Amino acid sequence: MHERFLRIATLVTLAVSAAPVPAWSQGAHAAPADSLSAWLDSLRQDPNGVRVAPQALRSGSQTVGSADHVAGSIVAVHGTLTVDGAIDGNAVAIGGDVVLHAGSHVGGDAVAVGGQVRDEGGEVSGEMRSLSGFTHAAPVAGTSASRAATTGRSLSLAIGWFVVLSVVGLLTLLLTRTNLETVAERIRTDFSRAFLVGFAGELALLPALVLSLAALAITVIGIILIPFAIIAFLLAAAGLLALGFIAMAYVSGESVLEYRSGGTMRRRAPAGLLLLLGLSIFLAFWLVGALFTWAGIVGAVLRLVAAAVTWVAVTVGFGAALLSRGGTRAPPHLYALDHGALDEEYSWETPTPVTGIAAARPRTPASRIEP
Amino acid sequence: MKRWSLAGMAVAAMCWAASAAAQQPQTIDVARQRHAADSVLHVHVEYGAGHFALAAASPRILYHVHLHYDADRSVPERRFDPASDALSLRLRSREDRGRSVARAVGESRNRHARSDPNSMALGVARGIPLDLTLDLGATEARINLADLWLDHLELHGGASDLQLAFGTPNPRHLRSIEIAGGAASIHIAGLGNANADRLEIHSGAADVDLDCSGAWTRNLQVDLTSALGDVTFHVPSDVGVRIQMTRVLSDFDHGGMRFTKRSGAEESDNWNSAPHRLTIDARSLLGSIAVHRTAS
Repeated sequence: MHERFLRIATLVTLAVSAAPVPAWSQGAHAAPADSLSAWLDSLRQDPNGVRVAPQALRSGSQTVGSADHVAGSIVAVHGTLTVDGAIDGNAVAIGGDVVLHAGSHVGGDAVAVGGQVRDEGGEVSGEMRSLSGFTHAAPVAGTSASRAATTGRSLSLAIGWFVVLSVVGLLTLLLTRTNLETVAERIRTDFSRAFLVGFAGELALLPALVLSLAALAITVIGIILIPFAIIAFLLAAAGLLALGFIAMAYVSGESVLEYRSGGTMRRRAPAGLLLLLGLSIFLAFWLVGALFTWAGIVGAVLRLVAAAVTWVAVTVGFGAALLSRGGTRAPPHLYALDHGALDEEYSWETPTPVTGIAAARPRTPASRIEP
Repeated sequence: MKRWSLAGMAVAAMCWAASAAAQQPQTIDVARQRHAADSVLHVHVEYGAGHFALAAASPRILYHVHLHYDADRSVPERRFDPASDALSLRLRSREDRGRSVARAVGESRNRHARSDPNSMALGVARGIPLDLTLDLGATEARINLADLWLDHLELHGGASDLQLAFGTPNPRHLRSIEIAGGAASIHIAGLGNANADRLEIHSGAADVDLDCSGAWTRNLQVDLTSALGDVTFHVPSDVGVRIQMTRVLSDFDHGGMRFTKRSGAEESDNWNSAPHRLTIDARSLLGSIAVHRTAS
């Protein structure tokens, strides 16, 4: 059942990853409606474009003969612009080349979008620009375009983090599942203590680094080791934070599934599903925040809530990771449980701190004490 | 089996992330023709990451820029003032408007590692005086100064791998060259062609290789500050060398040359007779300085 679920999930994820990126997500590269006015807008908005009057637009290839003199600009849409004569303004081709023959003159810029400006002896007072396509127009503050772009960026960021954490989490499950389970157990059994330890740990990170570096700086060898110590410290801190957050997501997924199924699903659900479910919960907060990016103060409050929830999760996870020494030390009650589970036969014996089991009088069968 | 399924999901998620982060490569070619009124060209480039190349443009061209970049992340900015013939080029990040190139080094290192990095090829006019300032972040820069008339050269390399070549003698008097490197490498070839009075290098942890060959027309003073980097001078046999060093845990390799100590400095045996002289004032920490003779 679980394997089937995982196979289906893998296929779905692969299918999603293989799906072509929709045209709307291609930004300004996707041409707007194929009309002359839309091309004109693109040309105006592009940082490398030019401003031309609407009457300058012509459809198809155009030629300015050697005897011709164009008073303004000329734009050939979906065609090549060949210049033998003179153009006072700009010479533009969209979806074609601008060819400047010897003796030609362009008073402004020569611009080819999706083509090349081919200088074959012509004279251009301005610049010659060949663009592979329209670039993004510079966003103007307060416009709907910039709001959409900001929202899109926030959504991409949230989904990107989800994907990264999912990958890291699944790899953690594969490679260090025992550590993850141990940290998760700490979270389950010692939530408030883990939060306090995590908070103290976050506050102590920088002072601990500074103190370590100061200690290293006392000796010459220590000074040489400082760069390595900084990297090691940062890696260790990042590792504990990531492990803690992934464990927290794992526990969250477990709790949600347990709540939904009335406690029947938790033990049967695959660990990967629990982790992805937990991460999805945190993603949901950020997605809601991102979706309301356009909504000013409401969006800010939603993002603040998402940040607060995530911070609590990271702090608890970090604390649990610290308490369990990175998942290498199980909570005390687990030892007790292990002893209890070791052998039902010895459950009547008295545990001691040293050996675990002391000599004691065995249970006396009821029949013996009967007279 | 379950493990394979999990691994499959991880790989699929990575593929999805990669496709979600697809780039939007954009290519721009910009050129301006030369006009009779052009008397000097001032060029200032700020370029954070990727490949950078500079060379002389074709004869009719004042400048020519070929830029390949990710339009999703970067915005090219270009200004040209026809009155002063001043060209300013910049590739700025969309996320961080106004950030300096030096501060973008961390990010740009990541970009550098991508399969399709930014690239800029700049051609500048030959035959007119050139004032060149380059602020490069973490780039692989190949700068060919042959056929250029350099009046001023200033180069900030960040974490770049810089290769400069003075392929032909510079007909202009280049008063000073300033080069600041960071953590990669600096290689200068044909320094004798630079026609410069002074070269100032702050190499940081970068290795520096200075080939002083070329057509010497004047004496050259080199001021060098280096930390953790190895500095090597290749000096033609007809050039006298005087080197004054402040070294902390650094080595000096004279490469078989005979030096005589005078007034706290090491002087080569041809110092008094050489037609041209190279004076080196070096400060080195935890690195090495080497001077080797080459055929003139």
